[in-house]
Amino acid sequence: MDFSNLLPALNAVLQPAPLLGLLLGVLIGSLTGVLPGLGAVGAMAVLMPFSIALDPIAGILMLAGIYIGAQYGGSTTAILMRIPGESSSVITSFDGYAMTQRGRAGVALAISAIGSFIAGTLAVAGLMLLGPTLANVALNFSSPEFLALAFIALLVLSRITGDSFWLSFASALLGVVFATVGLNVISAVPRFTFGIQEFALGIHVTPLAVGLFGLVEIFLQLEGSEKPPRVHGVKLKELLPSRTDLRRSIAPIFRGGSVGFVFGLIPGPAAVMSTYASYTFERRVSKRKEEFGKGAVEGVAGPEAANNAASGSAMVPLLILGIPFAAPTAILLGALTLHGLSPGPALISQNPVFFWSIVLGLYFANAVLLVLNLPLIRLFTYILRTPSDILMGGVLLVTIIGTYAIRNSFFDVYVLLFMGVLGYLFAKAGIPRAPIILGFVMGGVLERSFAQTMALSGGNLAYLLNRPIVVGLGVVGILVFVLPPAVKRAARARADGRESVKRSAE
Amino acid sequence: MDRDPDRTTKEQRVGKRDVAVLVLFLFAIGYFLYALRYPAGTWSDPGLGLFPRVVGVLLAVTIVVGYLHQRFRRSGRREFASSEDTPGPRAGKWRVATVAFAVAAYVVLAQRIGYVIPAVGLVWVTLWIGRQRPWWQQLIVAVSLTAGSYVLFEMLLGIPLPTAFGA
Repeated sequence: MDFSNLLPALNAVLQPAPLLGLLLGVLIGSLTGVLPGLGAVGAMAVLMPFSIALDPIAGILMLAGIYIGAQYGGSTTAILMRIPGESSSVITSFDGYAMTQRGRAGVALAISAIGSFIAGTLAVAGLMLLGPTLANVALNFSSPEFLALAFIALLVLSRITGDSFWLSFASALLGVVFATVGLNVISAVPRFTFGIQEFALGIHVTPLAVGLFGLVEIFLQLEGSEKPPRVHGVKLKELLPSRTDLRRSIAPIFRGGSVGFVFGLIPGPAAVMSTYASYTFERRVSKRKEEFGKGAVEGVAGPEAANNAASGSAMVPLLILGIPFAAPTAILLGALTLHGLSPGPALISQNPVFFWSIVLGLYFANAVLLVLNLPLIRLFTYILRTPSDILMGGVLLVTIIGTYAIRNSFFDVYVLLFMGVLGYLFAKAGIPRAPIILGFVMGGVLERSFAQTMALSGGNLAYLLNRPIVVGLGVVGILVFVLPPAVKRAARARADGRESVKRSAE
Repeated sequence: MDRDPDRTTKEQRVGKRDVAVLVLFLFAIGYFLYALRYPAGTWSDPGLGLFPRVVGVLLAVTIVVGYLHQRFRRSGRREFASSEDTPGPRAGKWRVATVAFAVAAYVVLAQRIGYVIPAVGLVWVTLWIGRQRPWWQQLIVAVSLTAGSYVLFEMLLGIPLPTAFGA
């Protein structure tokens, strides 16, 4: 394994601009996670246009910092107020808030931060070890493999997002439809312009992402306009966990980190799913099952480690395959494109310093979060009292300015508004929005690899069955597609069986 | 007669979904028909219109199958229902419509008179519908946020904001 580029990458990260980008990213991410509403994806989308003002390493690290920081921040409100700032912190709120009610908020926050740091470190180590190997394998990929991978990713993501596979898949296809507007990726001939000149350049990823995530969150917040809940204060001296707490947490942290790492490698909302998996696992292996839900420190340590490891390992498919498996990494792909970078198997060999800078930057992001976030808890609790109307007014301005600034185009702001309204209607109808952006960013890959595959195969799709990697990907896709519902059904049947035995015993 | 709130919520959501699905289906058909304008080429040498046609058909079929699937399992429970899809109060929808209209008005006005006044108006509308403070405080906050954003983006970060008549 060649780590010779680590030193130049370290030098690149330790420049003022990347460090500033990283610091800004983790702070904004933490704040986003702390403040219920906008969410990591929304914040990343809103700030994506501004990331191009920075150099590529600094810009991408800022966005990645937001993603990772939001996982930390989200747990703060989950623990202190039982309001998860991020959906990946829902599980943390079960035992985290119970610990707060017992006067152990500081310990819960500290364990959450330590667990996140250790798991983040594990994920970065995994990325370092797995990245080059996977890239070598992926160098054997050509258009049929990319077509299969992108299509299976969309299918699997649709399977696990929302409550209806069909509506999620329709959502993803709608994203592909949006991607076909403008210059064709093969012949560069414009399509679906409806006589509007601006459409010839295609729909820009910024208004699409910002509209679907940033603007929709503002709409949903304004619709609710809830009063801010009461915030529990925490003193610095309360943040020190006891030796028993640490001893009880260390194994769940490593187990959660491993679970999270694996989940980050498969399509879907990895951070959220990994917390459920980790919590279920911890409860199953624990000797103190009865404490879960009442303030078990393992119930905080495992899921918090899992969501951070998943955020880190989600970078593997993005950077190595060039295919994002979830909405935050789809936004990162959009940002990489804005910077003129195309992630994929060749990234490590063609732009090694960039690749390793991102890997090292992710590690530093975890370290910065550990050092900064615990002392800043008091500041976060203060910021939580910011009136929601002022916050939303400010975010709305940033959203519009960011979208306009990309191409100095009012047309993009109209697209932003359209996507915001569309996303709001989807949210009200319970149709997931995340697949739209994934379909959109993968639309170009799908069309290009579709055309090349058809040309290669002479128009015969049976040709794909002669490609072992395609067949292998298909099998993995089928397993990921079929296994979760089968496991769920088996678990439900077992639970029903147990209930009927209990009832008959009564 | 009292109605079960959960049931109402689910019914409203399903009703909204039916409308959304219908609109999506019509969109898919329209997209497919529009794609017929472009040459399809052959399967081994795809033209400009082949991929959009495939996507259009796939989208339409997915929506129809999804709709039928949903109708046959309406009694099924939702396992990962998110808080975002609970129907808000009518006043909430009015607030959203007002802000959406304000954003559109901002775009129209900003092209003619530049950034500052439309931005103050947009923020003021956002604060006004929140109804958390008196009008004069709303105005002060709107002016402050606009001034702050102008200083931050235009003066410090050098990001060009809209100017009057594109000057």
